[in-house]
Amino acid sequence: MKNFYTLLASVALATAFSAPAFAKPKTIQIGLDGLVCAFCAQGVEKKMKSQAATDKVFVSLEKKVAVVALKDGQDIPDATIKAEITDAGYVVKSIARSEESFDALTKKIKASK
Amino acid sequence: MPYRLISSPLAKKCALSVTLSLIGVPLLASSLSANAKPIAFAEAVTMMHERDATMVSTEVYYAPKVWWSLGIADVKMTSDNKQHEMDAKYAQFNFLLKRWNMPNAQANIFASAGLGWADSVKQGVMGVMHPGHSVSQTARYSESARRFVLQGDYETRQFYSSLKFDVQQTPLFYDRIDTGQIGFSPVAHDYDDLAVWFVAQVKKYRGMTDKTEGGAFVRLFKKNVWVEIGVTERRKLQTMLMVNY
Repeated sequence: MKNFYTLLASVALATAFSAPAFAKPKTIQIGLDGLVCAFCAQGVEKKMKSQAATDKVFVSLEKKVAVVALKDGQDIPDATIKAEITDAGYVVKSIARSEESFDALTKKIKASK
Repeated sequence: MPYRLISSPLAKKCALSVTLSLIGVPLLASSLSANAKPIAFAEAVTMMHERDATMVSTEVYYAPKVWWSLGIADVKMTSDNKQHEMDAKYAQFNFLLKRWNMPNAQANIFASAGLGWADSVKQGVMGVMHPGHSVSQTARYSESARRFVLQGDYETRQFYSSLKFDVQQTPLFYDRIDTGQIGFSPVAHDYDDLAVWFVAQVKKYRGMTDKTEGGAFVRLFKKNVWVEIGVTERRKLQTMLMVNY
């Protein structure tokens, strides 16, 4: 019985510290169609900033993406992202979550060819 | 002979109209766009002020959704001979009828309908009493007015085209202005950049003034501010300011 409790404790500890499995995303990268002017970018920025989980937003017309920085431990469901972007008048092509920081990701996007 | 034909002013105007039609109509039919947009984005207020030799317009709209906006438009028109002036105020609905979102481009069709009131002043010569002495009359009208606008645009980050048909009508008065624009930006701008566009324009006036007039202007566009300044072929200044927030 003692061995069983030891095993159970070990599994619990291992699970608790297996960070990657429970890591929360820090950023969401949204690929978009139709982004050609500053008004488009403004519309997307405004919609994504209105989300409670959003900390800040970056939009690139050149790369056709929006990057959303999430508040600690929070997320925005894909369905909500699609609904908000559609409501703004644009088309979502892709959604990717990342543990990269907002600054690192936006820097990488700006530097990409 | 063909050269002489195309060099006449009338032929130039015809050629301009045909060129505009050839470029504009397919765009209108396939993907459309317009000049300054009556809807910028959802939950936005759009303010536009446009001024040229014929028209001064001020328009303010609120768009609860990207598909429609509601607001007011004040349009002051003056005929080329200065004998007819009209000041119309409209409550106006704008609709985004269709949008095409493409990977590197966007196209839109907008339609607007306005109902309001127009105050007109028209001066005219009633008759000649004897050489050198005429009797003129100034007539003033206040009447209901309607406005219909159809406009479309197609744009990428470096190419812009638009076509707009703007009709104003009262029981005694009809005016229509068709505007076609084609522009390019030498640099593919990003959101934070100052976008600089060079735009060529043709306007065909019918009603208060009957003429076709070309023009060219520079458009500066950054974040939520859009400014245009240019001249028409008759060397008249044309300006436009559009702000969204």
